[in-house]
Amino acid sequence: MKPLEIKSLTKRYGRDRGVEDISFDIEQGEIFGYLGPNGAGKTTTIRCIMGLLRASSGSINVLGQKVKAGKATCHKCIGYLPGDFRIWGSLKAKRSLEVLAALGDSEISKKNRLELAEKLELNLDRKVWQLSKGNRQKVGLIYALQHEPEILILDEPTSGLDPLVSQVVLEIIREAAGNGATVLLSSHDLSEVSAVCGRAAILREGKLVELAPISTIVQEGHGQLKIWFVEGSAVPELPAEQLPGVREIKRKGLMLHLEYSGKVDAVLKWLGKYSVSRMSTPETSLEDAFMQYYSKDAGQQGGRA
Amino acid sequence: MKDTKVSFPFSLLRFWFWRILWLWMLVGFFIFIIQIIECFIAQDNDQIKLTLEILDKMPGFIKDAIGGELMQVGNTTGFIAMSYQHPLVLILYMVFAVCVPTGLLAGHVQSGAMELILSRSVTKNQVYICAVILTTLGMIALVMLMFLGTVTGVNMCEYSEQVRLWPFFRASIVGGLLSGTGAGVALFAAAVFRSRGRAIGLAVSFFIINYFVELIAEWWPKAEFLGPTSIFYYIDSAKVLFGENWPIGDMAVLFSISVVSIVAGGVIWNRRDLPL
Repeated sequence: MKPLEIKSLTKRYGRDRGVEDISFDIEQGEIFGYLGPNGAGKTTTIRCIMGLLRASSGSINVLGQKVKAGKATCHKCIGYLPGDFRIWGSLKAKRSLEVLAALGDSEISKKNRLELAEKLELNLDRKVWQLSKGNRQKVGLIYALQHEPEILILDEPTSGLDPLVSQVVLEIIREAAGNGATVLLSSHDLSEVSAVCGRAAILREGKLVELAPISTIVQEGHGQLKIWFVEGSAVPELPAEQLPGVREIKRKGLMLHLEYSGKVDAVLKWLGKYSVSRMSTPETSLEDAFMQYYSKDAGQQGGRA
Repeated sequence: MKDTKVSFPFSLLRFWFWRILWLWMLVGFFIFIIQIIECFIAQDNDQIKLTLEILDKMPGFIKDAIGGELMQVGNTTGFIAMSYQHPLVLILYMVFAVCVPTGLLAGHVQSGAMELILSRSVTKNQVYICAVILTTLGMIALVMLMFLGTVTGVNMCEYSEQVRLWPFFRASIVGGLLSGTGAGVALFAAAVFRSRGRAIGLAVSFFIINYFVELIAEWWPKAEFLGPTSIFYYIDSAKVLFGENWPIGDMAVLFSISVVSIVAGGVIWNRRDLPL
């Protein structure tokens, strides 16, 4: 039994698309990235896992129990941070967290709450409305983590946080996973996903378009090559018909920056005709790979998040 | 693995109780004070005559709306009972009956806090039941406070005739059932709408439309047939105050409307996607 199993999940909002035929599972102690642009269906999937939305079809199992909408299936064991964390503004952060903790396991929560507040450098005695967006997000993180959940579902956890605090948050997530928690990390910040996740799923227009280890996703991306030609020579034009799948990104002085898919052999053969001073292969990032999945439909995103 | 059983969220009930307490106290205070003031007015025949003179100069439906022929010099009980159906008292009840459920359900959905509540170990049904409990108990407590106001006022004043308190208890219960229908409709609206404004709009419209339908039905003979469609039709002051028996039929209608509204709201709340 895996802590979180999703099978053929489909959620429609009337005629509108939510998500379609999503399947994946997460191992215990794994940090799983859930990627996609706004409107791809990340939040819809998460709300179905939380039983806030009723799935149109398919099934979700949390810790071996089938999720039923509105029945709080295994919620004592889940730490959830919504994408848009909003809490009672008139209450002190501490009081808000106490109230929410009391709806589960409040004994464990108190000690953890204080430790987490210290790590995140957050004053819990201030009223929520007085807190900045970043500090409110910290309250959300404490809310998700304070009861030592077995499953963590985090929707854009570092949204609104400065880079230093983001690092602390990622460290806390790593630590939780190290202690056996299963983490679903939804994000469109690719650097944080590549920093902490072992595997990731990429969602496009409600459908899963990739589900693989981060390293595989990166490898599947286009390769890049930077070539510097020797002084005095001209930078040649790219023979597009001879080099299918090769695209010029930039040309500056004696430098030519190319992007290629598949093997680099053909490019190297073509370069043999010219005097090359040096070459470099910029590392393909998750971001590059990610952009490929979206380049087709950029600007056409729709539906609910 | 932790215990995954979902127990009743008494902590949510407590938390919500403290959040609505100020409103209950404010509404309760005014209802209580109005009853005492009315008792003082009713002990002074000159004051009664003056009030009746003012009312007689106004359109007939206004006097009908707050007691009609029960309000006469010498009919102390009828005069005190005026405050049981005074529009101001009805508005106070309406404020509580509408604001509490819409605030607890639609208000929390709108503010985003409902997503947090429902992501803890609380089912949707339990959340709805908490709102029903607080609304219902709040209304019952207000009704009791209104009766207590009359008891206090009657004991503080001296009347030429003996004022029996039992009819006022009966009037409180029937009045409470009337307000309960409003609370039921408000719970229904709160369960249906995401926006608190819309939920309040529906509940207030229900009250106002019913009130005016009853007034029109009483005032205009051709519209008399509309009477039974209004909840106010099922409050007959003379029957409640001076009748031998409880108006069981009328009470059953009001009670049924409340129950049907609350159950329908619960079904919709349970089936609805939240927090959308």
